[in-house]
Amino acid sequence: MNSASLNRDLKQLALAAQAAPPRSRQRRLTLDQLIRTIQSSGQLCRPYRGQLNHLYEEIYDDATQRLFAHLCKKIDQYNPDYEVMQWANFLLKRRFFPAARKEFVPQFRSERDADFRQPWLNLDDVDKYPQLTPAQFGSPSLIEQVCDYIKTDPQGCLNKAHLRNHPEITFQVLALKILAGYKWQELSTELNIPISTMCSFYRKQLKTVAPTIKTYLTQ
Amino acid sequence: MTDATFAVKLLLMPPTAPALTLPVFAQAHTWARTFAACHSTEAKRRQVYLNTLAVAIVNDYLQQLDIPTALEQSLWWQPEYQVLDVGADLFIPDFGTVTCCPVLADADRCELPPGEQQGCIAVQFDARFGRATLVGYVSADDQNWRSLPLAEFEDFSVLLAQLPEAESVAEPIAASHPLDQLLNQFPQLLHAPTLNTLSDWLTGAIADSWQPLDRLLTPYAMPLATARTQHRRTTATIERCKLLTLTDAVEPIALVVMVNPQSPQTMEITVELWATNEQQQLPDELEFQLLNESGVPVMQAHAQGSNHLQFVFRANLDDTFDVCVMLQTAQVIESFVI
Repeated sequence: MNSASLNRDLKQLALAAQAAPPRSRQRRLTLDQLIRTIQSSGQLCRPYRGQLNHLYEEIYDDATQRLFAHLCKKIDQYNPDYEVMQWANFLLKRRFFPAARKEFVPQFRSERDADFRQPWLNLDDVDKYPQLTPAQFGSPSLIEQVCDYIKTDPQGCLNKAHLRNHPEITFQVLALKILAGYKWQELSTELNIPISTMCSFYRKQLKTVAPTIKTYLTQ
Repeated sequence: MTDATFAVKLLLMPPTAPALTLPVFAQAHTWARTFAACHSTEAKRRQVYLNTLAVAIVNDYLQQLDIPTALEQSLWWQPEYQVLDVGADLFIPDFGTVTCCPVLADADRCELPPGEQQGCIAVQFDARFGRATLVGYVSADDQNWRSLPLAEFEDFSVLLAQLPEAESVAEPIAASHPLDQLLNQFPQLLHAPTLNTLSDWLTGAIADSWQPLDRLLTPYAMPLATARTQHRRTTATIERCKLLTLTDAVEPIALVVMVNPQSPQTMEITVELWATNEQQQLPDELEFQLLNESGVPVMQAHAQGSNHLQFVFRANLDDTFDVCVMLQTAQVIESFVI
């Protein structure tokens, strides 16, 4: 898309968003298009490439995220005398990039270890991540309490409903299998029931009993 | 085409903009890590980690579009139930739940779970889980568990068009940001070429609009030349100036910028205004301001009969500042980045 037609489209989207009442479908749809068009245009500037090489991408991502949030919230401030892209780039360069940089750089200075650059884990690390001990979640943990509830059915509510045409298959039966680590595919083979039938029943029941379990456990 | 017809067209026609890619914000990783750590098996941790990221990303974007969501009413967000294989559901009041299905970077299909949800959103992560793409939405037209190619998802806006409208909430009028005021005052700031990059000056890349002092032509000799001979300076110092014409009624004012590198990252900056008239005097009401990156004045001075005004400060690489000169209604701004 050349920049004249990009500017025209963006201006039209911004004006359409301004014309639509806040929280209307029209405003959400036009803002969604506006943000996506800006992102895919390749015209967003990449300011200040000076001394931040190692953290640049993270800061830039954070800054563009702030920019998009601002454009959605403050679209009424857009002045059609200028191009949307000019406005967006001005805000990114002057306001949101410096703001994002402030947030990232002091952290970096205080904690120079490699972990900081990726404050999360990749999937392999997730598997290695030490399990939080019950003490960190209150003792015994809520998860254990839920498991106990499923095993003991203290209020007798887990076997009230059963899968159609299968009186032996109740919520408790399925939940115990899930807790034991079964996958739906395995259960389907073992019980000779289609996954979707079983899983629909299970999830529907779960939504029904969840509030009951929660009330019981927090009493 | 009027704005109204354009709006209608948007509703009827599939939009063309590519899917949005959002950064996975740090808080989402923190939630995902915390939830995952509650579980003892690898498979469960993996599932919990990915589902949590997907729900967090979708929730954040919907909220950005001012769509009320209820994370705390979503079963997924109550970690004690995650062990029971609840779906990665996000509850949207007056609509129902949408399932946020995580998709790995190299996958081209997405598993759609059966359940009670209104539909599923595919959220594809890059290999390092730094960014997530909202691939699209599919309505739950049947209760079958199926795997759908990503290419067959509908545009994300299909979901947006279905979500209920909400009453607009009167927001308290926030004080406008200093940059907004600055922009109203100086709309020319929107034009990127007006930015002067001072670290480029040190390598000799200086726009022609900035002249060495001895080449500046003024109607009368400036007091500046004599002042400079006494000024301590190093060979690395770069000094340039330009004439600012504020109004036709007064002689131009000389804006002088001196850059004195202290280290690869810092420099001492001197900005000055000098009179160029016969009286060697700046206009009485002349006002000189140094603005920080947010557009807030951090130094200011009034001429009141003096022959020059000066600000000296230190700046680091990437710092931004503006110099603003005002005389009655006339005003000139110059923007700088180190």
